[in-house]
Amino acid sequence: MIRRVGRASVNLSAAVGAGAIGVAREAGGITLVLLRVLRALLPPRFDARELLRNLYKMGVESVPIVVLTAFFTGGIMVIQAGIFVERFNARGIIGWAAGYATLREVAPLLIGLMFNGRVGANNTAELGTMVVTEQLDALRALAIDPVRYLVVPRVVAMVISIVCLVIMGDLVALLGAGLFSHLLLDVEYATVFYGMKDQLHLEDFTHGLIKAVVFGLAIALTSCHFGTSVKGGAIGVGRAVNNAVVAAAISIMLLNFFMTYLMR
Amino acid sequence: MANPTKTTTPDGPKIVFRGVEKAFGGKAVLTGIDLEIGRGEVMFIIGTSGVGKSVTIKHLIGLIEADAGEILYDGQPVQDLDEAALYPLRKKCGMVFQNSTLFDSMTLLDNVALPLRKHKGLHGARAYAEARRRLEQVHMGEFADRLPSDLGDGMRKRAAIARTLTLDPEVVLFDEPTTGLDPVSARRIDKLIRELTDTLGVTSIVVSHDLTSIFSIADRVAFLYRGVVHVCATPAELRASTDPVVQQFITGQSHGPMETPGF
Amino acid sequence: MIRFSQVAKGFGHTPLLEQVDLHVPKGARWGLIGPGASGKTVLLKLMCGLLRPDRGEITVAGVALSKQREDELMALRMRIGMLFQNYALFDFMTVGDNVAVPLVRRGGRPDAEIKDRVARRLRAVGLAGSEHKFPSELSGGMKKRVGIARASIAQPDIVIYDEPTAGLDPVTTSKIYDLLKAEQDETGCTVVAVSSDVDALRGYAGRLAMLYKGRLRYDGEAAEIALSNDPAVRQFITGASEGPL
Repeated sequence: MIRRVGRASVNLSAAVGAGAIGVAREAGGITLVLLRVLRALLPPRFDARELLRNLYKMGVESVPIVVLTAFFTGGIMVIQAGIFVERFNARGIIGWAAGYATLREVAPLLIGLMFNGRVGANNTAELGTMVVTEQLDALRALAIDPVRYLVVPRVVAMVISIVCLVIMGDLVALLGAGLFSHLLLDVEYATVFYGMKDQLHLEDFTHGLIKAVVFGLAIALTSCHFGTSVKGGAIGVGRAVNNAVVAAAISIMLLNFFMTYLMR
Repeated sequence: MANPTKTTTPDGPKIVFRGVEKAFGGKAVLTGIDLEIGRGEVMFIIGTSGVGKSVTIKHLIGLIEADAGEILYDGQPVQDLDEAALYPLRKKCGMVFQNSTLFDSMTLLDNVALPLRKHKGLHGARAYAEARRRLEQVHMGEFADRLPSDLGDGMRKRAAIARTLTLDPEVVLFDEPTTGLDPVSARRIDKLIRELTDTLGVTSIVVSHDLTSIFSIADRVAFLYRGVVHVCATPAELRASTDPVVQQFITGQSHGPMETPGF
Repeated sequence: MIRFSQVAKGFGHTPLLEQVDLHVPKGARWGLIGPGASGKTVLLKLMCGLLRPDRGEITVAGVALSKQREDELMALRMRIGMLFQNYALFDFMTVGDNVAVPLVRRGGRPDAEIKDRVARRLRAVGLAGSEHKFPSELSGGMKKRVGIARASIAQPDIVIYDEPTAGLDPVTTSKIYDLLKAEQDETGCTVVAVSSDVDALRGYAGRLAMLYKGRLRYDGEAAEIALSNDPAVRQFITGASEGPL
């Protein structure tokens, strides 16, 4: 019995060890992608056409889903805040209560996760397929640096896209909050929006944008790293997409925790 | 006659194409294919790339529907069958695709056992025993527990053939079975195709432009050119043919009367 | 032009190339054959530095690859054109853009000249007027020819063809080899070609090498390979089922 527990604990610690090595290896790979991207950006030399193509695909095509998410997020914040507003009869703060959490936390976090699922996954799959079909080797054989040509435009496009999407999402969420306050809690529009204008500060907004930049970078670097290091055909691509989405989601959560703590 | 209740005509040809026409997007590919394929023969369908060889054999199992003409399987018309009625036919006609289409995540044994479990309702040990027997039939028994990615193209192709054989097909369609294989692997595939016909009595239809295969294992050869069967003959007759297009093809000359799309 | 000395390369625990020595003279037509999965493609990728050897030295056009960083290799790759086995066309670009990549990459040419050269190149491979199609609209044989056009458009010093005719019928195959010959006569480039269609390659290449079990088992005149006293080489050439392979 003791021996069995012993063996199990050995197996467990071996598994934990192997897991830790795996995480360290991927984190190292992601850091390497970051360094290469930085080197290609100083001075900025990358393909402008690829950047535009990716901005459209990643940014513009994400607008509908972000608008939808943000609109209802505003509504949800009102419903949750509504309980306290009703109990303490503090209608004046509904705009602030809903807006503060939305700008600082909910909008960047939800849009980040949405972006990870839609754009990050797609990016990993696309790069992975290019690796499997030797298109990445073909670029190198044509003396084209895949980092400058493929990775940098994608990273830049993702960061720009997510920042724009969060700004748009913030506006839509605040509008949604106003509308739902009026419909569900019967608060005047003027009261809600005055509360937002009076009590929300610029730093609530910039706080959310800083998070957006960091999340965008995390998603971009993770998806590019897993995409370009695919091995082994169709299954390899599937596995890479899976790993990239999970790794980016975990990074978003951890980064969010630390940033919220530091920027309180 | 072994089974008098069967409505088939065992003495007639296994498969008949009569005036089959097919166009894609306004571009005529087949303009009247007439061809009879006998029971238990190895029939090669040859021609330039893009002439419609694969298109022709896909008609037989209803993967493509003809614009005109008819296709008879054991005397029964195929072209009027709906998707559900095609399934029994597709089980009788196994197809070996150009890329071996094995599942990468499974061992050869699992790959071959899959149709046995899905279609024949065999379970566990029995399915595996049968799968192993099939792998031995294609001389791949010793590699049963390997993954497809560990093996060369020729071996993967043989395993794919074993998987096709599990359903005891009457007809096996081979789409370019030796393309991309080195000469030794290619000749082993040739030998296997001949063996299947000679020992199991299956009818083999082989789409190919591998001249060595054609002249070593074919019973008859149908040469497709400009949308019709230009010549249908035995390899010896083909070699003796005075038709300039046939001669250019079988000698692989770049100069001659033959039209090659795109050149 | 290309020299390997004592080159070894493995993946994981499986050694693929054990000890390869070879020399491809300038202006040669050098063919490489060998069974499936023997490492032919890996050898080609080593030539342009897409892979690094585990041991040994590779010298291409006087440049020792092991001392080069990835960005330094780019200068060398400008002098090399490569056709990949699976074409490796960029599927988000049109055929015209794919073929134009090497010219655009070298820079300094007006758009009109690039357009004109792409059109001429596509005509030469029998695909006139397909500039605006996407690779997904083409058949395998057509993609192969687009790949050939891309590999050679900038008239590189070395052109590497991985399976230039796999899956093509005999007539188209000899037309492709005619094209490769005509092109080389014009530019005098060094050509390395891998093919599993041994007979067609023998007709094209001046010298042949056979890779088997990590080493070159034959390296000499294409015309004399059938006379090799290595039974594995002879079996491979004739395709006999019985033998050491």
